[in-house]
Amino acid sequence: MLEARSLSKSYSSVPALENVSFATGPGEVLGYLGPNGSGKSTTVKIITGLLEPSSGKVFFNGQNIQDDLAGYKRLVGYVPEEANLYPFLSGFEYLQLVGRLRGLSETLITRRAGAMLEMFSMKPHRHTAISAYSKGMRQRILLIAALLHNPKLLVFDEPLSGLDVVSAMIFRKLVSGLSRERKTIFYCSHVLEVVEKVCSHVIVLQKGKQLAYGSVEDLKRFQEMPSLEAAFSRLVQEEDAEASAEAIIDAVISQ
Amino acid sequence: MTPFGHLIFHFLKRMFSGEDEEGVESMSLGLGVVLAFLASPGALASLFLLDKYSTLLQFFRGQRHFDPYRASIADEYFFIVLSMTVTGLVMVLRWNRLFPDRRDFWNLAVLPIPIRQVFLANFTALFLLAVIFAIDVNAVSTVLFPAFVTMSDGSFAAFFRTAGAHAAAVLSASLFSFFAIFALVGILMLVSPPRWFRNISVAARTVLVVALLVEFVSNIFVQLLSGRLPGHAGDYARFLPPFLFLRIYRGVGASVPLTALGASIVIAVAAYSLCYRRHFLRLAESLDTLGAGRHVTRFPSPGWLFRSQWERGCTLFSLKVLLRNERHVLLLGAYLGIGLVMSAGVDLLALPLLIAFFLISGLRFIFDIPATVAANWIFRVAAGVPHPTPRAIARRFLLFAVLPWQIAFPLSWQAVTLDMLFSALGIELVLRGYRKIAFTCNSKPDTSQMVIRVVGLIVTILVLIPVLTGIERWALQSLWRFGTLAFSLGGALWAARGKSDEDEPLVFEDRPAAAFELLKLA
Repeated sequence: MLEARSLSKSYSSVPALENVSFATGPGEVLGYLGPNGSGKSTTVKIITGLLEPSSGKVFFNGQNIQDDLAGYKRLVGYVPEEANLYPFLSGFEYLQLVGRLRGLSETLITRRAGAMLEMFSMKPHRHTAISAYSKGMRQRILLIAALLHNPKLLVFDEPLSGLDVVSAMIFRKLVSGLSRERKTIFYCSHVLEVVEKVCSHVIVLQKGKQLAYGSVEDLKRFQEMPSLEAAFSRLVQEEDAEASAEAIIDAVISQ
Repeated sequence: MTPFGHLIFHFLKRMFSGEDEEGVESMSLGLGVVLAFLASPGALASLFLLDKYSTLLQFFRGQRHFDPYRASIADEYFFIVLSMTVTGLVMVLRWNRLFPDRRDFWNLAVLPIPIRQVFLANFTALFLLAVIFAIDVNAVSTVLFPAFVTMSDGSFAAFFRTAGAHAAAVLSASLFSFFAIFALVGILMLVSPPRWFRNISVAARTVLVVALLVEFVSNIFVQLLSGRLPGHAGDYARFLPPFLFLRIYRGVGASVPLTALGASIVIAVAAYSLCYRRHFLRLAESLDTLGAGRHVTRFPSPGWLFRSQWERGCTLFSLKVLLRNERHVLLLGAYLGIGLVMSAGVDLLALPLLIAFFLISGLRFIFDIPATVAANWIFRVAAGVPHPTPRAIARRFLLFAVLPWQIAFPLSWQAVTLDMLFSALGIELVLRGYRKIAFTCNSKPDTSQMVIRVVGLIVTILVLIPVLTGIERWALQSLWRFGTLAFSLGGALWAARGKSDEDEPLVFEDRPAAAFELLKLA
């Protein structure tokens, strides 16, 4: 069970996150939604142990993650928003590095990495330098690296970024499968259709504050909207999207 | 400003942006700092020459028949070498910017600008940069050096004549360096298969850095210390480019260096014109064939060599950075290039110590320069309780790099033992308080004391190595002396290792201590 209690974070006294609380358990997929600058990435960094909150605590299986951060990190698989990888390593070498840093045996690394590279159609490119990879290929390597040590908690930050249609479909099925395997999944994304399909619960964030937290169905019912996208728009939209689009077109065609 | 002017300005700005092709921020210094740093050797060297050319000091020394023009030839040679080295190093360091890269393609190819104009703007920007640097490096010496040389003459005509000859020699040498390297890149691009170009260019750059530094450092040591031209300008030396450009200063056979300069310009422009379209087309193709090329070389890593998978991961990562990351390969090459010069003519007993010194200090320095720092998050999220500690991993890495050299020379077992103990002690000393994984720490190199560091390094080599060799020679004269020294070194090694630092946290951010601390009273 992943539990965040009253998380707040300020950067040089500018609040990025204010009093955010949630909990999600094994087999659940928690969607984390919000416009740019709403505090999503800050939350992800706190949950993965990369950042300490200004106040509040994160618990995993009832234990404060800061009490044994190294032990907690062993249980977490993380796909960051940006695919920052070492360009001079090959995809397979990167997975070897991650596996070794996590203390996995060579046999296990080779077996798991080999199988997942095959599944994600990366096998022919496994010995190619990452500098020659496309964005989608890098994203697939990140996904494999996050799953390599069979983590209990998975934190996905915009995992579909750059993935082609087939890989995105595989990923969606993968998330459902991992949820059936009783993994706890924290899913941060802008792609609301996917969030609606794969997440059991969602949190909506705006300007660092928690606007809504509940199941997808509850959110739609509460907002009296047919889809998550419509409910989300109603919650966070500060300006009329249609009017904004018209204004942009006017600017483009103006002499 | 015209679009072409904007384009030139854009390329000039990119040359100082400190971003590599991956978009990763690398060491970037402001233009002012770079210009001040490059101008200082020429200015300092000029000031040192006052001692040599001062008529008052010559009088006190009793030098009645001092010919300043004859004596100035050796010093002019130094300024020519300095000029060529600086221009050459700037070109080698900006090698990847000699041709527009993938990012330029993304941003400029979609604009209504002919490809020819893009390349011409890039070429012009590089040329301007080379001229600015050449003027900057030689500005002080162009005034001071002729003033000192013509001090005894006392006429303006003599000053302007010498200054003109000096400026012509150093500037044409700089331009030759610029065009020669440009021609080399163009030719390499034309003749090498695309998939091998990167590897070939890294090798060529490393060789060039080593060659330029060897030339420069050997010149400083041989010439400034003895006041003579290297090797009394033997037959072979007369064909070295700096000797050719010395002819311009001497006013004898200036057509030869000018022909060489002309040839380098023609070859550079021809190679550039031939390959620019091909290069740009290749960029477009490379975007469609992502993942198709650049297979990495794999090497075995037997498990028994490592104490844990963690160590295996960190060690192999470090090795790959050293062998594959361009910046690290170049820096290590430069460091070892200086070592190569220093080792020339050194006593056999001192050679293992000198190699150990350069490897230990060089690797320790390079460990602090991060490789793709944005990617170090994986170490942050995967780092559990590291076993062994980063210090133990770095220690073993350095030992593996240094110890094979200790047994490579035909020395007695006592000498080899002492060399190993000295090296191990050196490793312990440079690793005190080390809590980083090599190449993952985001550190800002402290460039403010770079000159002091370089001078410190040279002084250390000139003083420390002879002293240690002397001690070693003393110890090798009898068994009890050897035993005493070995025991003392063993004790010092044990003391230097200190307590275990298992509980020390890993460091991923390393900032030099602030010169001023703000008092947060609010």
